[in-house]
Amino acid sequence: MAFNKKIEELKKRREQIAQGGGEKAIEKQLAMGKMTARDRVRSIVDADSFQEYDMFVQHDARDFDMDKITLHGDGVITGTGAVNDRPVSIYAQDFTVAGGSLGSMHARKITKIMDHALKMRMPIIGINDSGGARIQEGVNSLAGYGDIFFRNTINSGVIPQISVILGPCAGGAVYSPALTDFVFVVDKISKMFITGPEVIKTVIGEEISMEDLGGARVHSEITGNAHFFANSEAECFLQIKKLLSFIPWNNSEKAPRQKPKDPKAEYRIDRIVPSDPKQPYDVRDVIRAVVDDSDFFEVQELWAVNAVIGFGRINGETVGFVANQPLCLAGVLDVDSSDKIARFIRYCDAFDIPLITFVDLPGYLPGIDQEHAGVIRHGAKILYAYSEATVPKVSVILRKAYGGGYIAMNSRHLRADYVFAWPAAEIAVMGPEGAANIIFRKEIMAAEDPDRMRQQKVDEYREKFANPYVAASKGYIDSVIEPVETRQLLMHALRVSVNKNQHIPNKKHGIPPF
Amino acid sequence: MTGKSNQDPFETFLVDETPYKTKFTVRYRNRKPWSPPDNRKVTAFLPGTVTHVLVEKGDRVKEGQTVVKFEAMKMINNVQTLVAGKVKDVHVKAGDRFSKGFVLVELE
Repeated sequence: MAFNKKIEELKKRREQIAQGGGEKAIEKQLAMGKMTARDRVRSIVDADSFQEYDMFVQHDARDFDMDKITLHGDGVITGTGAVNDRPVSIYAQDFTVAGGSLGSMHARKITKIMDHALKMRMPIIGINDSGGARIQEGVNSLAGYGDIFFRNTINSGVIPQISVILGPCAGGAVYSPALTDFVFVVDKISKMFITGPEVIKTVIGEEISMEDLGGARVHSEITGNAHFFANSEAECFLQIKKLLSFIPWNNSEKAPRQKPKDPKAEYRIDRIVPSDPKQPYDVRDVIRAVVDDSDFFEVQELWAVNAVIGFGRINGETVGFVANQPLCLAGVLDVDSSDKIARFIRYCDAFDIPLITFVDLPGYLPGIDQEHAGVIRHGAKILYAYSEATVPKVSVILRKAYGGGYIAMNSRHLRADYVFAWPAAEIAVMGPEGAANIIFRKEIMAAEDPDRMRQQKVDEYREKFANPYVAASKGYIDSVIEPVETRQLLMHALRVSVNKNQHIPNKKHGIPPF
Repeated sequence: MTGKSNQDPFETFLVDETPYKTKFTVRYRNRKPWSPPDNRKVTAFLPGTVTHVLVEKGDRVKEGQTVVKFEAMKMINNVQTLVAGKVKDVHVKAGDRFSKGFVLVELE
């Protein structure tokens, strides 16, 4: 009977701890439109798959009367479970317990599950909902953050690291998400900033709401810190599961294969791109016209929208897509889009996901603002990322590929494995208008009707140089193809690349233009 | 550089003399116009609170002279002139709070 008593006691303890910060705190959490930490974890993992660890961990603070306070689980829930039957590790900060504040034992629970994830080569999902450092624990709290950041960095590129911001994530705490692969935010719930509105008001007298300073929209549209924006926590969890369906579990595994499916008939690849290079279209429709089931999962959909990145499948295999977006800023490269593209290339390269690049751009964005913002340094990241990537790399030049933009967008010169061009592709040092004005300046100025002469010369230049055949004659592109052949050729290119084995010289690491 | 057409959501965007029909990004729409730097304007390099104003209108100042001291980031910081000149205007007094880039003192 004594044994039964012990079991009763265990049950009681478990029940108590499962209450988190207690009824009142949970009510408050729900009133803010937020789910409890345990419900969040249960919503992400497969039903009944979650096993919690370190439930009985207690904080070890003694100063400021902290020794008289019990904090259930020390404000964070950690454990393992499964998503679509694949194992994941997960932690969720519990805002109902001391505001989810991070003390040394709280941090130790997180680093323990992170180490576990690394050892078992499985993804780690971190749900952030915390007021920040536990001030009473002083420098021990800072040490905890440092230990997490270090692991985020070391785990980077080995196992997928996913951050979900479901509440405040402020001060130093923001650097854990910033170091991870993907950051998910939810409208009106996520808040991220280094210094909050109150400090800003005291120091400089500027007033701003948390939402306007570091809400989900701000980080999805302006800063680029977030990768996925959702309107509700439920939508966010679906996005996480969808992302996980595309990616491999670690850097020595392949992404899970799915049953191949044809693209939907409504995406007619030969009808999407207007032949006039000045007319816009949505390049995502071209991607949808080549991927299985026309299912394109876009990353950073709202930020630097002149470039498009995301995942899709070709013949059942995950592929990372990079494309210029003529719908926005004519698809030019600029500071933000360079950062967006370069980081995604590195993600795909780290996790052995082949890259397909759709090219249609007039070059880099002109402007003082861009030059002074360091478009040279940022633009260089794309060159670096493509050159260094050793996964299969395929390009399709849809329309224009001018100047430095042509080189940067996975050209053969950066060791692309296949470069295809559609017949209307214009591969040239610049657009015909600009080129003709420079090359034929004298003739145009001397002409009786300069406008007519200019047009004539523009047409002449376009005819002679703004086509795919000059580049093809040098072997810079491998083949000129019909748009309707694109998917078939991508399948071919990926099939041929399956044993690709390319290495860069041994080095500790390169020095990318961070 | 750009012009807006009324019928559709698209803008005209010029690259290498070619006008492209396209939309703008948030960053592009919010870009700040550039103005050449003016060394006669002594500006705040941090947001903060003025502790001392060391010059008055009409004073002669040397290059590198401290004209204002202010508290910011838990320190007292010195604001120095970039060029020599005569003080045309002082825009702050002790206790004033200002944001980054605010013109504290102007030289003639």
